[in-house]
Amino acid sequence: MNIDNNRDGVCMNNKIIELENVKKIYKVDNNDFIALNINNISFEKGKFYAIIGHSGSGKSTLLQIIGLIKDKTNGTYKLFGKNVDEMNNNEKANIRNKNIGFMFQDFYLDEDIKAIENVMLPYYISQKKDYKEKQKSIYQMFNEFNITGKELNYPKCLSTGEKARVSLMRALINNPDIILADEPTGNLDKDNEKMIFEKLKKYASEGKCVIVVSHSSEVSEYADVIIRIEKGIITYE
Amino acid sequence: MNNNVLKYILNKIKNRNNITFIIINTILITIVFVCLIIVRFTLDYNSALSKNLLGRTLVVYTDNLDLLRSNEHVIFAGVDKYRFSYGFNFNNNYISLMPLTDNNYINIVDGHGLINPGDVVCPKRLYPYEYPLDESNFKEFVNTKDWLNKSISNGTYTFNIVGTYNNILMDEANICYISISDFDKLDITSYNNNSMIIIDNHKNINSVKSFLTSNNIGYTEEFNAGDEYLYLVTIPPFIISIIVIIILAISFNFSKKSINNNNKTIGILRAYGESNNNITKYYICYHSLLLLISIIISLIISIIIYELVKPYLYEFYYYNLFIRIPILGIIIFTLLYILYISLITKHFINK
Repeated sequence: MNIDNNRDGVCMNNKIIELENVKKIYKVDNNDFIALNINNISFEKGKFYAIIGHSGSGKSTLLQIIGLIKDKTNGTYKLFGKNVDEMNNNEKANIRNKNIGFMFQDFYLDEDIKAIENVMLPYYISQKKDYKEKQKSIYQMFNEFNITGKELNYPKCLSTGEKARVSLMRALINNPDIILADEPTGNLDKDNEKMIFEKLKKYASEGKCVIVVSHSSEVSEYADVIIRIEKGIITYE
Repeated sequence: MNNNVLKYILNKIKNRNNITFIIINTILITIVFVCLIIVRFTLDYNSALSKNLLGRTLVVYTDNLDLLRSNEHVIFAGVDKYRFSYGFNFNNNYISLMPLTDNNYINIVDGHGLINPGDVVCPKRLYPYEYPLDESNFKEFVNTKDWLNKSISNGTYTFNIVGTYNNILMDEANICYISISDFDKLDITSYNNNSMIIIDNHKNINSVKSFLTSNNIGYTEEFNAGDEYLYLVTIPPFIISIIVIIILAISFNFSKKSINNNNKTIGILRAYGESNNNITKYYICYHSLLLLISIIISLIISIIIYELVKPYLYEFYYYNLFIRIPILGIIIFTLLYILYISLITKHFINK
């Protein structure tokens, strides 16, 4: 599958993320530093995208702009067909909670709360009332991820692989349409890396849009689309 | 605000860094509270000085009462016997009677003032013993509201208790007041043939002294307890100001550091869809709770210090002692401090 910077090469019906002439510029010592400079790119539901590139190439910046964590400097970003510039902060926050699931580099689990509470956090933010019932279904999730019995452990008592799984569960708790993973397997051994990619692939096949930033060469075995970024500019592979 | 997320944030208070903050803040706030108690005490003390009759009375060596009354600050001039009290025992209580030479001197709390012959007004909290007041008996005050409309008698004359006056700030413990004409009936002989004057305000004593000197009238000051304790007026507010500045600086740095340390948590909350406004509110609650814990502990410690130190402060008062906890000052300080912390938190979160 090719991604052409000048042409939309994918089926428009499934497009949920569309970026057009998007730039991210930082001021560094009174000079402009262009972290990202994209012509056109779009992402569809049901696909696994891998974004690869050297450190500082703009991969994480792209992910953060897609995830509405950072604002772009220029350009148009449409999410589910709506221009994000027309959204206020509360709408963006709502979308981040309900439609986007993040998996961070180093997992970013809260050491002060148990694994199950880490997973529940996005659900608490959603302010749904049935969180007690939801907690019961999470035990099932721990089972599916093969970490039964670790629900009440604190992160310091989890292995790296277990932390990765908890982090992924947290990203999935609100059943988002989009999963954004920033180096989700950076600290993992081959087996755990494989498990994470397989899970992400599975969710992509179930209709989610999965976008993964990774240095790992293994990701290419799972990705439907590989996007390369160098110095903020997208090429393709 | 989301209760579950708020609980999650507040759960972080058990963090060791927060314990250190609570301890440091408790020490500093305790010092502020103790200083506020001392400032309140000095204000009360100065108020007592300016009101206290004894502190405004001079014995003068002349019988020219008209000359004495010609001074604008002299509100009473008479024979020296009016300086002395007439004491007697009644029902195991020691009652001390004095003539009311300054009608503006007392504030009636219950009942009414001196209207009819035989009326007497007593202190709201009466110390029913002869002085001196000391730490062994300072608790034995009587609420004289219970004595209203009752009579006391020295065996010869009977007086009716018609009112109580507020003696909290007056350094008066056991003086009941009757009219000058009633006092004249009592068998009081002054020890000498001197005169006495009462000055309208403690601040005007020096002016009256100058007047007496310029008229070649000798005088004796009955009671002067002000100047050597002047440091009480100036030092505590100065210390408080410095302490408050230090507290504000520490709190500023702590809040900034706390927000930085919580960057990860704030980032997670933002990423998973919590709004900036809610995050700000959570952390305002978080810091306010830390602060409240410090303030409550400080208050308990301050009250303990207050109870331990109170008996040693009797020397500052001649007859009486009412040290008050400055509740309003403490409340104002607490509210302002919480507001300050909230503003800092909001600033750093938005930044």
